[in-house]
Amino acid sequence: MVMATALVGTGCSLNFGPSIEELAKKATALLRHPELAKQIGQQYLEQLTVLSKPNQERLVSEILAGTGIDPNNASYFSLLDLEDELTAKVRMDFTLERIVKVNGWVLSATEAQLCALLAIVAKV
Amino acid sequence: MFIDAKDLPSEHLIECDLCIIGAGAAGITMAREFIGTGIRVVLLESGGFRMDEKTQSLYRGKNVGIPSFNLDVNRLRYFGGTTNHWAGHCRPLAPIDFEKKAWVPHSGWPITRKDLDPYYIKAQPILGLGEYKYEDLDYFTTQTGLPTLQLDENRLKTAVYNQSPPTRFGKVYRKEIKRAQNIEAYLNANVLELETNGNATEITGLKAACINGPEFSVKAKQYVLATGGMENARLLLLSNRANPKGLGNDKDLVGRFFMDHVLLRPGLDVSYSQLGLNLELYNRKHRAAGGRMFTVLAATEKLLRREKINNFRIHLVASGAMYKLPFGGVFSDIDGFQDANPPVKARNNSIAFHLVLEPVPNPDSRITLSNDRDLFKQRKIDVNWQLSDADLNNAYRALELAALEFGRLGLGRGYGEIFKNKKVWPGNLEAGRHHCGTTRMTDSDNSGVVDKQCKLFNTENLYIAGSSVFPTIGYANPTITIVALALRLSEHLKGKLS
Repeated sequence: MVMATALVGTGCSLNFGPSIEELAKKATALLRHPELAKQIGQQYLEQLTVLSKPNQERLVSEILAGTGIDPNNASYFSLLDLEDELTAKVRMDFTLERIVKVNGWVLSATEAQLCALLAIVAKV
Repeated sequence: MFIDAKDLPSEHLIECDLCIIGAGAAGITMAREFIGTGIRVVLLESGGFRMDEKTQSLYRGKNVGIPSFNLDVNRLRYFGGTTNHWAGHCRPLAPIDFEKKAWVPHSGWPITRKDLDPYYIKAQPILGLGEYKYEDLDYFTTQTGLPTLQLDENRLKTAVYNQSPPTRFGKVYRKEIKRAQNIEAYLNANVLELETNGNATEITGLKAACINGPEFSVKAKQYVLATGGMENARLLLLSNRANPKGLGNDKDLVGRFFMDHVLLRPGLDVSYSQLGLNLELYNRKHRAAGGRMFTVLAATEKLLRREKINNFRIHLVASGAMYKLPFGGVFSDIDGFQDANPPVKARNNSIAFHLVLEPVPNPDSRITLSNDRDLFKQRKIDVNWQLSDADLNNAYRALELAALEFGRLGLGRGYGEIFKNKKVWPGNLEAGRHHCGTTRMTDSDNSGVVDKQCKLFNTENLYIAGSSVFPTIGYANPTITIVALALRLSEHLKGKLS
């Protein structure tokens, strides 16, 4: 089960939000089957061109785009909040056809990006 | 009454008002409509009451296009025809299926769905079905207490199908035909040729024969060819004394536009995100409205008009696919599926989406006479079933929409071979065994073989019954439409003959 951890910044200003690495770790903690998610992420990355291959920062930014979570203030959001926001975004991905095909699977762009982020984080 | 044509004297002449060639769904339906009318009807059936190898061999031919089932496997050549092994799935064609659509070349029936509605209703009990309630989904959800998927009406809908027992016409209607005073049903009677006057504007008779038996003839005022989607075309092509191209084939259209439903089974496998997803209305049959029913996913009219694709349906089939739950569970995590280790086995965690797609009418998909000969030394057929890039694109999009809807609803994720390479048909491409289009119904002999009454253009007393007249085929199985058209044609001919 997801541990709901509300992290509250202490004395942090907007300019001192969580690092990209911390955000990536938090986001990918939502994936309870990390080994399989890494496989999907790796397959997704392999089908991107060299120029379009994203890094951690870009993936975090794209994953959180369109959600209610500001990367600079992400420490004020719990994991449950993050999960809720991403669930809604994934559903919207399918509504708006923001999808990718990964090895025959029809996936939401957001979930493919999340898996890709895990694959990158695991290599770091 | 039934007569074995083998007992006829050689060169015997049979005279009647109406001669129906073929005792399948169309032929038997028409014969029944004339019972007690005083119109003398002859019904000619190639086989007997059971399948026999020699008669069945008359159906042999070659698939020279896309590989498909052997021609003598799909079709049955004995009393009752292919209803002797049909699956019983029934749904009328949709209104849009009859329209001329700008994005579908060669589309458009010369009649509308409304023209056929009274006959669809009449066809229900003939096929052993319940009340005519195809568009009343609420009725069935109330009756069964089962939920439907909350689909986006701009994409897909839940469509009702009726399930026939299935009615084996040869068994169910045999006694009725036997008792009918004005019907003579000849068994083992193979029609070899339709004879005409010099300019083929009139059928003057037909030649028939038994295997190792007598030859005989029939003279009627009106003739109906009801031998099936392939054989109707074959007999016209073989009847070529007046016109070497074949009867009704001045414009080289007989045999062209051969269509069959495109099947991908499965086209998609969906790994569940949630346990306890109730899809019983879709993957089981239920008693309701005096019959049995089930539902499928189908394209909405909005979708077809917006995206300009062809019609399709998708059956949801409980799957034994070994989708590893954790893989599907990767996405279920995001869908909010709470239990990481559900107590069900992997085989219950996926569902197969079987796609049935309407093909685009294609003049190069066709039936022609081959140089191989049958027992009567008549030319067999080559079936060159062809599909186009548009068909592949339509299949891709249909399955993509299904995957999108399940993703949108948070129900699961779809996997399909077709998504690995959109330029190639998946290896499990199949034909639906619904042979249609080879003597298509249109409003002009420049584009078709029969008119809106199913009469051969330019020949006054020959009509065609069955799926060979369909100019497009929608996604629905053809049998109920075959029966509806047969009922309509019967009404027309009663007017002519009485």
